[in-house]
Amino acid sequence: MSRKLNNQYGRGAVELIEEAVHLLRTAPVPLFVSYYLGGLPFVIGFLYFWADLSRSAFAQNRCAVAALGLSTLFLWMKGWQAVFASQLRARISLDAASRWSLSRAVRLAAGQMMLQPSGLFLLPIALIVAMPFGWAYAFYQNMTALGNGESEDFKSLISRSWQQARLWPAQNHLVISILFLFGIFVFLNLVSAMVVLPELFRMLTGVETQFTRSIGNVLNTTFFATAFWLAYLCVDPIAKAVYVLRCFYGEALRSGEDLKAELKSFPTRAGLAKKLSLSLVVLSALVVQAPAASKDPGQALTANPQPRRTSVVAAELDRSIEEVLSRREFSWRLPRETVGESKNEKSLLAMFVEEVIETIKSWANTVGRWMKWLVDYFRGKRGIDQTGEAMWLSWLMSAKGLILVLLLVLSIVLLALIYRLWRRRQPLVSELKAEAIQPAPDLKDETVAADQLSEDGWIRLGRQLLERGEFRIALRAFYLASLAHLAERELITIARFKSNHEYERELRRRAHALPELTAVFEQSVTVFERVWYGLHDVNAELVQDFSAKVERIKAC
Amino acid sequence: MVQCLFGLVTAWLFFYLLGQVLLTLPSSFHEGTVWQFHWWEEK
Repeated sequence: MSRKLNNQYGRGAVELIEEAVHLLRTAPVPLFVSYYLGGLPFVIGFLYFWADLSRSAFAQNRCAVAALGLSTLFLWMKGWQAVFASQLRARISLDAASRWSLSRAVRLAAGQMMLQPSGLFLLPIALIVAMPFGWAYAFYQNMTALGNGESEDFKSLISRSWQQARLWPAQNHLVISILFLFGIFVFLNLVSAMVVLPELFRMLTGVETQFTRSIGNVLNTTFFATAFWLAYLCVDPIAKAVYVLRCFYGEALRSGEDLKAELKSFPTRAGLAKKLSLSLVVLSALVVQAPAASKDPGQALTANPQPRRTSVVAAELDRSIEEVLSRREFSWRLPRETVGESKNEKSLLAMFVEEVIETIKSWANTVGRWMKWLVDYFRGKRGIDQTGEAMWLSWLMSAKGLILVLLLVLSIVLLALIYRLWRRRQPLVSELKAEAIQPAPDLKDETVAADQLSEDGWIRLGRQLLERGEFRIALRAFYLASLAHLAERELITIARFKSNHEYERELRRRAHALPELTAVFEQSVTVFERVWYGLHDVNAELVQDFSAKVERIKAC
Repeated sequence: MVQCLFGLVTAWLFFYLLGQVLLTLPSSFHEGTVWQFHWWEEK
């Protein structure tokens, strides 16, 4: 009944996609190599073509040649896709892949060259019209799936492809929809990965890229074209496998190829007989060897039939067996009840004390054995190759032992480091803040501003200049001191672009409650401008008078 | 042979037309600046 429904409506779309994915998962690597050998050059060429024509100023001159190169790559890709599809078909039908010859390769390439380029125009048109897209898409996919170069008749290839494209339309449309949705998600995943990876790279290595400088750099058409073609390379093999399966099942309705493949999957009678005889031979060999093995178990496990001298003592063997059986990985198989019952007979404290004693005893025994082995070894009684007590050395040399030794060495080194750090520890000393010594500003320079020194600094400088008889610049120093003072009181804001009259206006606005202050400042501005910008004579008295004005400003 | 050449010419024509479309599109579209909206410049 199920087969009948399958024949009528085809397999379910999801079932078909699952089968395609399984087919790809079990496919060998060379099969994918054949796909990507065609796909990757085309995608790289396309992205170069896209980037060049969307950016270069001289792209117009080479557009025709670039288009020719890209069309060659397109045909190259289609040819390899047909090779990929034919290998998939061989795997489904359990046929040994038919041999490739030059004539077959030429036929395959010619078929794809003739038929596939029309799809470049017809598929977009079919997509715009919407309705016939499913059939058109299936038709071109079928031409890849069926165009394996075995037939010389291209007309039959077209008719077979069209026949298969018309078969099971519901399944076809559902498959296209699912693959389209899947493709969108793959595309979005790739876009997010391409955005996030450069950021991660920057976080790890500190290397800036165009993508990390601004997210706006992502919004270009080449970026989206790259994501699109990467998504294509991920999803298209699945689409190819789906259409190979569709063609296989579609053609099997008449040829019964699927039944043949199922029959091939059963082992043949001759093969079965061969396997059976092989099993019997192996079994008989085991039966013959079994008595010999029971006599000497050590001999049965070795290829060398020579008897081997063993030095394992029975007591030692018992101890080893007990030790192994008491490990956690084996103890879980022991019945808990038996252990529990025997323990319950004693009190909790007695059990605890007993366990402690047993543990110490076992440690002492182990150490004693090691010591004994060492003593014997140095006396020359024992060799490294001997078993028994030498087991601890082999255990020490095993991976677990080496890890423990390494951990031990590491902890000793760490302890030594901690001890050295503790020895070198020093009391915390508060860090002294280094302050740059500010050079005295050159007062002859017009660009000197009042905020370069504090009020006291200007006054000190003015007094020094006054003593040296440099009255003009001493007066300027006192004037700057007045500005620094007013700035400190937040009555003016120092700025290089402001003129003296602007300071006056600012002071009038902010200190209108202090009329005396504004009046004295206006007087000092007048004096300063006469001396600094005019030809007014300046002497010690004038400077002292000016410094008195500054003091009055400070007092207001 | 002629049919193969026809196929190659068809593919070439498609990619040539695609190239012409890409050349026609403005750089602001390719570089993505056409999608960027500077709200502070609109004020």
